[in-house]
Amino acid sequence: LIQDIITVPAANQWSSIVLHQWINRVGHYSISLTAPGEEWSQTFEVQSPYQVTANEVSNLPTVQVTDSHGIPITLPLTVAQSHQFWSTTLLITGLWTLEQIKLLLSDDQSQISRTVQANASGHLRLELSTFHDLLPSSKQYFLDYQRLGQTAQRLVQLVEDLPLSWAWCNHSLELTGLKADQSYSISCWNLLTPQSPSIEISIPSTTSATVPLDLPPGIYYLQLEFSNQFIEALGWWCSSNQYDLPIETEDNEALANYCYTILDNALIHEFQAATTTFSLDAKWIETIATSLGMGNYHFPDWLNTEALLAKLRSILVPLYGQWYKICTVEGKRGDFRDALMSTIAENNLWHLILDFRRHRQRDERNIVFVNLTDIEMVRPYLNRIPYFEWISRSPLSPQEVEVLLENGDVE
Amino acid sequence: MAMWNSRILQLLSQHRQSGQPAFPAALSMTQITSLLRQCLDPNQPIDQLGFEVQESLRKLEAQNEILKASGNRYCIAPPTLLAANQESLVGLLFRGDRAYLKLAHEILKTKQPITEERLRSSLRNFERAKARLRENRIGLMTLEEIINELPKPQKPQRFLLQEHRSSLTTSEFWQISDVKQYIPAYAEQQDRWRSPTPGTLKDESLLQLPGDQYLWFEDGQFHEIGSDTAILTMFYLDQRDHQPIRFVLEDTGRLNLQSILLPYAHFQWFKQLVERVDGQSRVYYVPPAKRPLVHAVFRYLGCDLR
Repeated sequence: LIQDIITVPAANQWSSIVLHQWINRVGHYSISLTAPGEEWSQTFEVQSPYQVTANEVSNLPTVQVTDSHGIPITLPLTVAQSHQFWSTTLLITGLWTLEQIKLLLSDDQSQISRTVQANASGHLRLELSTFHDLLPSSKQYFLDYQRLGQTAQRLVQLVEDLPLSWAWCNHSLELTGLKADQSYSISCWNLLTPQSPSIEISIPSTTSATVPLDLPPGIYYLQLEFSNQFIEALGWWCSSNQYDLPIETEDNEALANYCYTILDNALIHEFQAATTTFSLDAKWIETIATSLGMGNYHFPDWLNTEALLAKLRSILVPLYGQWYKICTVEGKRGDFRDALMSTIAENNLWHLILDFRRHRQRDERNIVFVNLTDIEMVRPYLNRIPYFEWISRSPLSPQEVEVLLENGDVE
Repeated sequence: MAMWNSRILQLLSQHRQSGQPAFPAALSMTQITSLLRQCLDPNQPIDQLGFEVQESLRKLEAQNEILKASGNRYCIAPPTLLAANQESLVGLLFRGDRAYLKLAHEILKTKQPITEERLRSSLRNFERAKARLRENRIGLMTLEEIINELPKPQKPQRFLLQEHRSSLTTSEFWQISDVKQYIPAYAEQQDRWRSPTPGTLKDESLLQLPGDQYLWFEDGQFHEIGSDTAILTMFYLDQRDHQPIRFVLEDTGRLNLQSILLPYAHFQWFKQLVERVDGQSRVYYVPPAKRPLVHAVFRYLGCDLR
């Protein structure tokens, strides 16, 4: 405790006493003035200027955008209708006291900016209705906000008639650009059960949706529908395993065979034989084949898209080939077959090599038969296949084929 | 008056939000004035105080030091460091909340006294310094960025006009004598005010009535606008009609602004970049280092400064 007494000369005017000498650090002070018959005193505290610490700053609330009920929203808020846009109310919290924020309201042509200000608690309530009539009527409005020295951030957007788009995921389909006031459904047709009705998945009314595709094993062709009316072909989707068969095949051997020809990426003759028991609508097959040919599919690796496409096309334009005899290296017939199958897959030769058979007799162990639509197209590939020796110069005559088949000489 | 500037900054930096001291509190003009009155000794006259404080507040607001809100409320602006450009981090000017000054020194490792408002950063990389400061809610901007935040030349915005529609009719307007209309033409700014004729009074016309009252004519309606809005509108009309204001920055750095009015905020920024030339009002010396920024201010307004 330091105590000092100074004497002040009497005067009939205000006089100043410089106290810096005494008040030079933080603490509690007391000053008293005494004169004959009078006494005045005052106590006070001198504090150091307040300085914010890094810790205090890190505890500050972050800027948050909520709806008028205080529920946080993910930015930007997308609305599909003009009245929804203009009736939006947002609350931004965590701003600086009285912070000035630039709002940028734009349509597809012009932009206006307006500065708005947070209140003394750093809250800002934005009612979009107050901006109504500032821009000409439009199908697209965007509202962004920008804090000083920072990049603008989109708050709300009105996007009417957004083009429909979708993205495939392994177990779901993401759709955007739907009309919020309509309810859609997805029709899923399974190629593995062509006689069964399509499965319908309904979508809640919204502008964008993630639709879980929780479907039985199959290779599906999906369409978007509204009140059972076709809107948009979405394309092909499959996420099941190569060995999963639809439940319908349990008591239907013909259907099971048909499924194997597809799931095993078998050659076209086998598929053609398996489809003879069904009647498939050519127009429908043409539609779904075209979609597949345009690359609208999401398939697992095991499913060969080109093999599937060639099979679908063979329903529309049946393929006819001729049988040729091939001789392979002694004892390597099985290896030759494997090499041939991978050559077909790698070079998309499904429409050229329709069938493959082995000679059954023991002394013909090196002989195979292939059914080709165009020998000249196939020959360059055959020459490169390991264990290939020679191919018959001309196709087998119908009589020769008949004899081989009747004797049961091929398998 | 300069004394009030620093007192006001001190005052607004010391008043914090209760419960959230990292944010400042807002004070009303009355509170500020009565607190400042206590700094005066009893001999000093107080009749000028209100006016002086108001002028100080206006200037501080234009310098991005404080924020003003409706109801004559003020608070200290968010802390911001101003760099002359991205390459120079040695003369950073501190603006806004002084309660963050110590923190800014710590982040930039300046080793300077914590009251120093011109910071010499030990961090050399602009973007890194900016990110580090941003984490602590301190801004870092170049002067050019600040200039680009100034109001843009534009016609009075529609929401402003809706609130200030004048009851004046066209026929009443022609009764008023000594009206001037701003007509962009190859002339100095002050000579662009001409007498309107029915041929010149078209949509988007800026008019001046005697007594420095401005009117904006649009959609067949007159609207009362403030002088600062009117000045921004003059630059908008210059741009619309491709008639930029032309003037010369002499090689010596001398710049004569006697014939041109600038918007208040732009003028405040300009004054921070230049020095006064003694004995001549509105004539300035532009130091060579500040010339690109002065050009930036005028380019922003659409002027042709050579």
